[in-house]
Amino acid sequence: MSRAFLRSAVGLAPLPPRGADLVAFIAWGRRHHILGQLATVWEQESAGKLADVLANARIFAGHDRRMLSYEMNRIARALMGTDIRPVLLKGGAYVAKALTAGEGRRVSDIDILVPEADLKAVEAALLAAGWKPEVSTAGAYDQHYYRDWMHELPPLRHARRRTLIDVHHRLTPRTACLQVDHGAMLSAARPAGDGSLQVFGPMDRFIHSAVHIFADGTFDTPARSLIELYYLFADLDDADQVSLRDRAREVGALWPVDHALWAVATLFGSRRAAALRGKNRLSRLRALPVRLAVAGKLREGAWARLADVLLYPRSHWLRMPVGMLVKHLLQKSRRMISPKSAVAGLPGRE
Amino acid sequence: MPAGPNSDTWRWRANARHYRTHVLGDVTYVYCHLSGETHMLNLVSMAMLDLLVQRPYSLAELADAFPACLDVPVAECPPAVVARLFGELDDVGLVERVSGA
Amino acid sequence: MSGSWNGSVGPEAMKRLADHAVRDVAAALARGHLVLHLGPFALALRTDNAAARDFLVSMYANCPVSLDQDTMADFSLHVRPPNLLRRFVRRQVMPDPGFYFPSVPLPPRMGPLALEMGMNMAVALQCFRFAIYHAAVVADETGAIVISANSGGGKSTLAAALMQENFRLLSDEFAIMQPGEPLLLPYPRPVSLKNASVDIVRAFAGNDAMSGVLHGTPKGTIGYRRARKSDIAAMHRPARGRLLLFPTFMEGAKAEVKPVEAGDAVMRFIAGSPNYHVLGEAAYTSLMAFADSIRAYDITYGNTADSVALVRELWTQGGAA
Repeated sequence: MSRAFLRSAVGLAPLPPRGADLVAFIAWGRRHHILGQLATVWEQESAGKLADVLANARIFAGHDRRMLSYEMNRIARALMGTDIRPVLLKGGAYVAKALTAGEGRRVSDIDILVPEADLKAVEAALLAAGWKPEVSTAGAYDQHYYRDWMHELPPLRHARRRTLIDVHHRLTPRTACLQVDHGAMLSAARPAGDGSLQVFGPMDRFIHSAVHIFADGTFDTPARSLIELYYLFADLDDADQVSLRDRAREVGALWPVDHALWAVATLFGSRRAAALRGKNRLSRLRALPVRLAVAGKLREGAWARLADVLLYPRSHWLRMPVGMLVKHLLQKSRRMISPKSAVAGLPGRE
Repeated sequence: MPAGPNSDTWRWRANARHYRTHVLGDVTYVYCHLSGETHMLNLVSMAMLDLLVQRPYSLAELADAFPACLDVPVAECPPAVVARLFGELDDVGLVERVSGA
Repeated sequence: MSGSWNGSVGPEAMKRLADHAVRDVAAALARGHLVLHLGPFALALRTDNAAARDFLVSMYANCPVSLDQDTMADFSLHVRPPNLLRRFVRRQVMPDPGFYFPSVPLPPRMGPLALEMGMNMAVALQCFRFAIYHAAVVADETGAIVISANSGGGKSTLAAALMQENFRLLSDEFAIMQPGEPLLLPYPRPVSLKNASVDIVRAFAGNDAMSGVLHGTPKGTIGYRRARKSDIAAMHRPARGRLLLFPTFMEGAKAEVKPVEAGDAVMRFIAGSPNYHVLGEAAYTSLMAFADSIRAYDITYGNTADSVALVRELWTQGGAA
């Protein structure tokens, strides 16, 4: 059922024709926070209540898009006079480059990447321009968790606009087993807009998305992530597609990219992605648990809970070695128990 | 809180195509396309925005020109006040730095 | 291909709630297939709380509803126990609009309150097609009176009193503004009354117009004045705002009127909007046109008769202009 929904979501298949299925499809889109993307594909061909629902989602996503554009403008303003040119990651880059992957996409924050050497200067510039450490992660333990182990500064929130920014200095945590060569990707970045900000090229965008989705998290928004991969893959020209795995090998991100190609090939039926996939049977076998889990997450319900069991320890294992992980989880369990911070979850948001 | 650093060699302007205005009595409601925010400007702030539409100014040039524009002596509208009013426009993204200046 | 996928039957062809067998209504409600079509919104409801169901059947009797699983809705609301335990032991009920928001679990007899709160929440936090402002709206053929929600200002009591003066009810809770145009859309749900207001409104509207009374809720005593058949019949007819009121009720106070500058009124009005910033330019355009078409007043009064007389006078003045 969900695979059919995914294909309808990107316009590869028509909308479910029967009323109850159409209602279920929209409910699925709502649960997965992709109604805005559905609107991009289907609003023009809809009427009645369906058109209302999609228009509503389009307007909401339009707000997120405006927020992202303006935050980019404000970041450039805060860094004016320095020669730091942050790379916009994920949604910010998709909006800056007007990519299909960015249309109708819901976002809650903006992510940028800067060289580690510039980190202090960037943080100081943002603090001087009205950003403040986010309250929920301002504690000593969280600050230490981010600064010593993670790949980003603790999140900052702008005092007036209430928007959130994640400043990354690498693409995977310091402690993770996968170490992507972010230096190589940073130096291949290209200017966006007036040149005060940068974006990755199409290949590196796909690679980073694959890393983020398959090597850095619990795969919480499966439909949204997979749709993003589908569109980013569609944006690669022939030469990019041919070079993709070489580039992924070069920056040390081959296995996440192979997962991503598997997803685009299998879930969206892309022959081009299928043709590019690695031929090594052993590595395909090793990838099986993750792929089963992805399929489970998509099916929701009991399958999704089973997938969480597979993915949750993995997300931590991906981020830190076992000894460190135990220490981290102990710290977390203490916080969960103490009533004062009962709502504290994992700091690892998207 | 300033939106970022400033320098006397930097020149700023407002681009009237980037916002819409609607006058309601003594105040002007300004919709900024870039931020999607609506701002309520009083007569003085609106006068500064209008001045910055005409040509680019550095902060120092603005401190000279703005009291004259309001037709008041500099003592009544000293550079610190001009800087604060400018800072408010800067903070909400209604002014932009002229490139190469 | 336009019209191929619209996911709904026209509300005109739809039966009223009262035309369905209560058993069918209960079954659809239990499965979440009851869709209420009111003004610009279709709301899918689900509950097995008996008090909420009885309230719905009585207070929404004249509303078009569909009971099939093929009908698309803008929002869905589940009035349910907070967890499995509370389904059986010391039972509780709360509104669940499908996203997290803080809400106090209530005893089952307060199901109607959970339903009404949930329906407000669903619209206030998920509607982006229209700009929403926290206000009551009533209208006659010449235009609408918008009564902004001041805490303790008596917005709902005043709206109920103006219904008695032959104004139609657009909404007790939201001014729903068309994007780009200053038109206000009806969403005629029951008027929510608190404490002393319940009996005040009962005295002039009559017992048949009222719901049962809920005592001891977190908001005090709560009762509802139903939207009339004529209000429901006009639910697709928008109205243009002419008067914007900021009411203050003070026991025993002398009736008083003070004009409010348009610029000031707009700022206060925006402060009561949960979604103005989301709509961006479309909300700005309609709000500015609204500001140009209304006169705004602070009104203070000590009893309902004074407030009605005062509004009548302001309304006639405007008509002469």
